[in-house]
Amino acid sequence: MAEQELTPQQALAMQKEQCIFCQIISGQRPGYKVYEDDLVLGIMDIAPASRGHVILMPKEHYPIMPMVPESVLTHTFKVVKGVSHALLQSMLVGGTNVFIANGGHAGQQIPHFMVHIIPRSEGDNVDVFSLGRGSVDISGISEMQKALAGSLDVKMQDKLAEQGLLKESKVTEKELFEIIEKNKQLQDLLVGNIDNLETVVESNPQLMMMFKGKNVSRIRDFLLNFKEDKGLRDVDALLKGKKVQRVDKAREMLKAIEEEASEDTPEERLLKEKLSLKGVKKKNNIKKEHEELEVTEEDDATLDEISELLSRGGL
Amino acid sequence: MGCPICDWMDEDKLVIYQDKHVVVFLNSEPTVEGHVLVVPRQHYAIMEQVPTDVFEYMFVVANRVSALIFELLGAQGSNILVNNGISAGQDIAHFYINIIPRKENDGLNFRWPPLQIAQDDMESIVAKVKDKCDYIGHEKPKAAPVEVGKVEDVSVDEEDLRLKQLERTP
Repeated sequence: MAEQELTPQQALAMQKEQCIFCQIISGQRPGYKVYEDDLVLGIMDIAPASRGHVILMPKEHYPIMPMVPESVLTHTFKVVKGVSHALLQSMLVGGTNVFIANGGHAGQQIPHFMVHIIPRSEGDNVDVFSLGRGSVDISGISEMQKALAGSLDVKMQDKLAEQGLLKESKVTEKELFEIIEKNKQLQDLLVGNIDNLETVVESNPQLMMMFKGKNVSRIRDFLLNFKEDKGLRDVDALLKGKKVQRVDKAREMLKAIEEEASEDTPEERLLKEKLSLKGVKKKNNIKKEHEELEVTEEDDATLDEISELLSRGGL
Repeated sequence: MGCPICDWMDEDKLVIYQDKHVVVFLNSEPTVEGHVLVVPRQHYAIMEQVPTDVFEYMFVVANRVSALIFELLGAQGSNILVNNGISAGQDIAHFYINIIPRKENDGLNFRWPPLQIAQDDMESIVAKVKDKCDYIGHEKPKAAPVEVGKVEDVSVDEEDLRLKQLERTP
């Protein structure tokens, strides 16, 4: 299908093109506009829950709320509050509902993020927003509390940092190692692209807290040793029952390649000193060899093949 | 003054996040599993009393909570709902935001039966609402295009009827 070949950007552009709210925003379609500024547009819902039901949306096409940039989001809710107040005054009602649906299962019909602001008066028969209570089993609620609490602190780390509430990360070096070991992206950064590691860590408060006060070079060495062992295990697997001596040869070969590793550029040396990392490049090479080995599925590879594999790597 | 939400805050009951401005709880009487409440730390009965910066920030937090329940609870969607004022279904005199994780066939339905409004009636509603919306971010009706980020707080009348109504709730 042609649609499957679209990149996410293309799909979004296509969705935007067909979006009736984008058409109202651009003026291609009529709409009962009640509020407009540079960022948001408020119109009357044409299938309203009550008289004066307004929908407020960012002018840019964002399918769901989590995709809206924070600056647009805060402005949108600034206006939501204003519109709610305007509705209380103009429609002479006692209250308002502010309602958002994210996703089809939540009742979202058109993938353009919007906020419903619905005037409410007593006896208006709009009863869809009264929430049922007490019929849900809450035996697992404290486990859920624990799970959510930890992750939410992580998700809110930038705000906590802004407010000076960020606690010293309790992650130990060993735990950090385990995290890195499981996270391919971090692993690649640490082992293969230290140029970017610092930038990435600094731009991410979560990582910054985790790496704070940690001996990065030790973790790195640990990680590389771990990889090395794994690599040799793979060599073992490749040789499958062949003489142990050959494994030793493979080990020697690895060592030789390690020693042959090319010289660092001054920039790299500088960076390494900064991050207090040693032998970065050499180990990089070794890691690549291992990756080559790992992807090989050949069962009865000969030593020559292995050595060929090993020599193919390098930066 | 016996606000249950302030009590939960003091008791640390089912709190999943807190900072200087907001506290996030799991609802102890959830509509569905994973029903979360975002509340301002300060006691404000209705939306109009919540300072605009706190109000905006509450939704920033609500948005992240919403993203988290997608990731962690396997929700397929979420609803964010504010009941502001007794006639809108507000049951506690402390402003709060509901975040409701949604799954297929979860038995919830927030679809309202659409109201039919005649065009001339609609036009008169638009005129009334637009008139008040023109005050958003301005002392007087706007003369120039709205400047982004300059929306002022709306003032609260101490004698606000809705406040009195809420104070009477058990």
